[in-house]
Amino acid sequence: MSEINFVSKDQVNLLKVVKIRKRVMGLTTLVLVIYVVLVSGILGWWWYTSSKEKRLSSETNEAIKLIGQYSESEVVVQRVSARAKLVSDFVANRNSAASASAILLENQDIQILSWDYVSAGEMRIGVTAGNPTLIKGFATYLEKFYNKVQLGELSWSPTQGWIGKLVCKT
Amino acid sequence: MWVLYPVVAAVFMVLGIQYLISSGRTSISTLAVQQKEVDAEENRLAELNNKLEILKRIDSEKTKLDLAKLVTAVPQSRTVWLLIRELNEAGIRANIQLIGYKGTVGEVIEASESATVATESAVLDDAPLSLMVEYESPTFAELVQGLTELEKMLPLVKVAGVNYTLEGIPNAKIVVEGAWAPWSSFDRDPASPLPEHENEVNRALSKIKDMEDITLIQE
Repeated sequence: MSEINFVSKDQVNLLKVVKIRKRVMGLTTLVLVIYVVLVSGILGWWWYTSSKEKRLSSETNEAIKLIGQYSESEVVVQRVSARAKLVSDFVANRNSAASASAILLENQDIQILSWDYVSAGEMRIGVTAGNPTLIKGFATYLEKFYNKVQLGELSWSPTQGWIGKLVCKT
Repeated sequence: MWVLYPVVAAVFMVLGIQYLISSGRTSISTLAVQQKEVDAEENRLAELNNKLEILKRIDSEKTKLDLAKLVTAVPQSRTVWLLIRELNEAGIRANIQLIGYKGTVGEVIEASESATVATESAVLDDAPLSLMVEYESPTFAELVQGLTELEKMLPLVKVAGVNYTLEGIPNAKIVVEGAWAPWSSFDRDPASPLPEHENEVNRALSKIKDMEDITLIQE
């Protein structure tokens, strides 16, 4: 059994056109809305960053101006910091000669005849004592302060007694 | 009529996109660059504000006093006359007599018969302030005392070398270096951070607190 369509062909076409029109209008509107939202977003972002940039620029200039008012303090701080470092470094690196000499003075058994001192370098000491054991004892005493102590020469003279030449290295 | 709607919408969108691209201000890449610039400016402003806060908190008078003390220890120029005063004072305190000195100290000429100053070294800007001094007939104990006194004085002095002998004519030749350093230049950019100076200054001041300023000792 077959169906009989009583609607005319024109009417069918019109219905199709109406359906297409609805779809096109809806789709176009949807795309337009998305486009407008996107463009608004981009423009909004541009406006936001532009106005923020202007505000930051103005605040930065103001801050620089204010910092300029403290330029004297800044110079003093920079100088005091640099000078403090110089002072600390100088004191730390000067290898006290007074301390090095005071070590030699502590031992009463010997007498210092000569002392060649170079800061952070080799130290040569000439000593005299009543007997060589005291000089060897002095060398042993120096080993507490120096990495290498060498008794280079030991001699005797009737005027000065026993004389020892020592070399100390840190 | 309705057919025109999508056509007009398409033309509108194309023209709009073309404007966004060609105007330059709102293109995506421009906006990204602008955002980076804004971020950088924001960081710079934060650094500036931070620096400003620190500058506001600084006790300017105290800092100047600290600087003056530190400059006493390490002067900004070669103060050879102060070094010689220190050497004299150390000799007096140790009961040993300074009999001569010579060195390369720059343009300063000392009014002393025993002074020999190498003026040709005046052009050597970075040359250390170095003097070779000679003390007459000290005992070793006196020499130790002299060195101890010398190392307690300001401006700071480094004893670079000593040649002491009791044999022949007893004497002590000492090479000393006086501390000095010209003012150093620093970054003038307003956003450059301030150095953390307080700890460094306190550390330096504690190292020289027991030392004597030669300029305060009466001749």
